Amino acid sequence: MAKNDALFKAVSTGQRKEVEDIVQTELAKGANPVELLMDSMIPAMRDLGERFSRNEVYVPQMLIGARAMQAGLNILEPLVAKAGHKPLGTICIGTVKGDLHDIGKNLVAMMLKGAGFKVIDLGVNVDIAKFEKAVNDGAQAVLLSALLTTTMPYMKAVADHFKARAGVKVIVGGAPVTQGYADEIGAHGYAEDAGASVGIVEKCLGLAG
Amino acid sequence: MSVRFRIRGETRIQDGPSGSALADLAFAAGIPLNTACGARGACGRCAVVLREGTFAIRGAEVNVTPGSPRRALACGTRTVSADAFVEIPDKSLVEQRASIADDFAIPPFPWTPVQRRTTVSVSAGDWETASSDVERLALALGAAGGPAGAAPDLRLARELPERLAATPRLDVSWGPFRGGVDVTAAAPAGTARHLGLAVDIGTTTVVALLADLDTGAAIGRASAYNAQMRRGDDVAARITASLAPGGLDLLQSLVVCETVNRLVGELCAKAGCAPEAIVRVTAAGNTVMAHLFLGLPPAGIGAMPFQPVRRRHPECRARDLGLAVNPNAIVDVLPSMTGHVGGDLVADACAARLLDRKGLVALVDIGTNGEILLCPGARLLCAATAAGPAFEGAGLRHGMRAAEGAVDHVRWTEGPKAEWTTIGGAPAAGFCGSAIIDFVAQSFRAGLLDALGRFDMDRLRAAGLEARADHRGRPIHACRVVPAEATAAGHALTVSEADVAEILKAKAAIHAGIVTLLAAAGRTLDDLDTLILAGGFARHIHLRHAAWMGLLPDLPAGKIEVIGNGSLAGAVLALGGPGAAAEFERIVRVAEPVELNLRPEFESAYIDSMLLPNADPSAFAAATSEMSAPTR
Ligand code: B12
Ligand code: FES
Repeated sequence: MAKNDALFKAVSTGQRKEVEDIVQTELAKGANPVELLMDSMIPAMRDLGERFSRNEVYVPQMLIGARAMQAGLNILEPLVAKAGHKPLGTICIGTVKGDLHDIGKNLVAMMLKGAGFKVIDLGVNVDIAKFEKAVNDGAQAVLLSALLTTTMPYMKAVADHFKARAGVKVIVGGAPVTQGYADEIGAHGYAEDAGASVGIVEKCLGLAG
Repeated sequence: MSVRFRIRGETRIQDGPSGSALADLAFAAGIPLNTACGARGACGRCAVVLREGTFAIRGAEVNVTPGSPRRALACGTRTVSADAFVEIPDKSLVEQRASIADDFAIPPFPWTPVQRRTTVSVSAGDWETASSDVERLALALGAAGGPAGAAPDLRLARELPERLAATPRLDVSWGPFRGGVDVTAAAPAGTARHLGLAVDIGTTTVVALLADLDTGAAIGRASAYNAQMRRGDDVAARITASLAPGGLDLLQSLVVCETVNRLVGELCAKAGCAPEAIVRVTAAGNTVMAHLFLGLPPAGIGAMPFQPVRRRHPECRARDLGLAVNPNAIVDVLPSMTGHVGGDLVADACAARLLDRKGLVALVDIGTNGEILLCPGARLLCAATAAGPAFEGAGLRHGMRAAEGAVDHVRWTEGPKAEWTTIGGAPAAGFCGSAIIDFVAQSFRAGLLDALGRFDMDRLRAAGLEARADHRGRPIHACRVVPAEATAAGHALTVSEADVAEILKAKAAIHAGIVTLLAAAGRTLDDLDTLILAGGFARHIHLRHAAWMGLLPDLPAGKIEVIGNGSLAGAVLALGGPGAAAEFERIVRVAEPVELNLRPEFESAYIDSMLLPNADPSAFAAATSEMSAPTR
């Protein structure tokens, strides 16, 4: 099936209701859920991310786009899982202990889902034990978000913890986090925004071309 | 080792050990360097030009020779060579001549000082009666209509014989202290004034008001930046700074010695009175500021579960804090509701008589912390929505605080062409928050900005307003508002789409916070009867523009009250408002914190509020119709 332009556009412009309607109608017409996701919705999210990195769209549009995407995913995810679609890789993401900010983290998670990754979202106030469990469940990369300068130090604790486990990549982000801080704590990757997060995960997992 | 700093055409020389950070040397030289992120190397505001010498930039040694200057962050650069020459550009300095709100509008009240003064005649005593200087003083105070059983502390007791030797007629200042009555000062009758100091300790600015305790007359007001600013702009940065070795002591002395004491000096010099005449000090500030003022470690407020050391602060003595007033003066710091809703909001609530209002009332402080109070009936819900410093101009390409030269209002006229005013009529130096609100609201109305905060570039181009800017190393759309000729720095002042996005994030936080608090009370925007705006910023904004852009609820002007610096008002009430202490206690006791993160409505409301005016414009009917009316 070719790209469904209306669906692509509805995700890009954040028309939540529209996305739900199109997905329902298409499914009723017998469309393949994996194709709806892979050919229309994921490209829309990817496109938003790329335009974000080019300063062509901003946080407001990203957020409403991600919310529309989520509305579609709510319908499609169970069907796609049933179809046994294979993700690009598995990552886990969480806001570190002490911190409850999750709007940015949710956006990053959505971008990564949109890029075809399996995302284990650990939520907020996540401690090392929870990250550890996700890694044991198959996460290849641990993504940490912090929005408070006071909770950033916990990122170092997590990075230190995973140093001993070769192969597990630690990627950090959030408004107060800088590349300099990421280097200082020995994280494998850092991205400034949701758009750039996909590229950095691909790079860390050796998927980038 | 010494560094020559060049600043505003002047040279200042500062000595210090080799290996010192340039930022620290600059502070030592009295230079108001902007270290917004608390010298973490994250904000880029402290950029300087290295002219000559050997430096270590983030650990890497660099030799700079006169012909080839180099830019570097002052916080990440250390001196290596014996002598160095560094230039500090104006834009790396904290704004000077700030306009700081030192006024407030509260209903008149009968002045009822907590600290009173009584003239007494202390008897000489006789050897047949077992008594003492202190007891005879207490007796005399009771006989003169004062309280019974009041006593001076050890320090004043030590001085009592000398005072009594000079004269038995004393003016005795007494007031409540930790549940008892304290004799705070005793001066020869008719010689000293009887003064109180009310202080608003803001994260950015500090305002002090000197009052005559007996009459309530305001003798003077003075304000300044909080000297703690050099350790970062917001409360979280200060908490982080307090964790460094010696950090807490430094922060305490920055606010007490380098800020409040200087204001005291200024006020006393102007009023021609001795600082010793100040016998009671009341202070209101957010929870972190109150902790740092008192030297209490604020670390617990930094992360979940956001626990302060204390919410209520028993009175202490000026000498315990290092305040340069009467060493015995009683210091009374207003209590806090939670780790992030502090004594400044208790003060606002008291000044606005929030608990005694009829109808559904919300009180909002539009600022970095974005505290919101909602008063449904006898309840008081509180939250902090953390809007961030965008309304103070931080994070915006040409943003600045409200200070001389700041563009404070903007208007689109035919063309479209911008008209603007600046604070003090000085050449334009940047935009402060009130101008940004005007700009966003009116640009949206004129169709120059769409609901997502994107410019209509065709129209900007046609009107000759298109500007070149870059953001994170890539070009970005921007609108020229003030042409180069009218500016201080000789370059045009622009607003970029990234600036608009920052403002949208901040306004969304405030609006979503209000909506979420209402939801927590089972109410909606439609139910809101009164909106009270506290804080200096709200005094200067165009309220309809704030509604057009979806920052504030779309209420008619008659339902909005602007009280100004309610924090200072509360501190004044603590000095002389009838029943103020009981009212503070009532507010703290009924306050119910609402953790916005844990409310499912917040995220959705936040995303809706990111749009202009809102993804759900139903609550902005009046604003929408005003905006669609033809412009004159
Ligand atoms: C919304 C908000 C809140 C909401 C949070 C709701 C939620 N569910 O998340 C509420 C009101 C509850 C809140 C509370 C608090 N907040 Co708050 N909050 C904000 C605000 C306004 C916006 C944050 C946001 O969502 N931005 C939008 C998203 C999309 O951007 P983002 O998070 O930066 O994420 C992007 C990138 O950073 C990156 N990214 C993020 N995570 C990751 C992870 C990885 C792996 C990668 C690669 C990338 C990445 O990609 C994202 C998309 O581009 C900011 C101020 C501001 N204007 O930015 C303050 C702010 C973050 N909060 C702050 C504070 C202090 C608090 C409180 C401690 C105080 C309070 N107000 O009570 C509490 C504590 C809450 C807690 N327990 O953690 C401060 C932090 C200051 C500092 N120096 O640390 C800020 C900066 C405001 C300020 N200056 O005072 N807050
Ligand atoms: S970068 Fe130096 S203070 Fe922020």
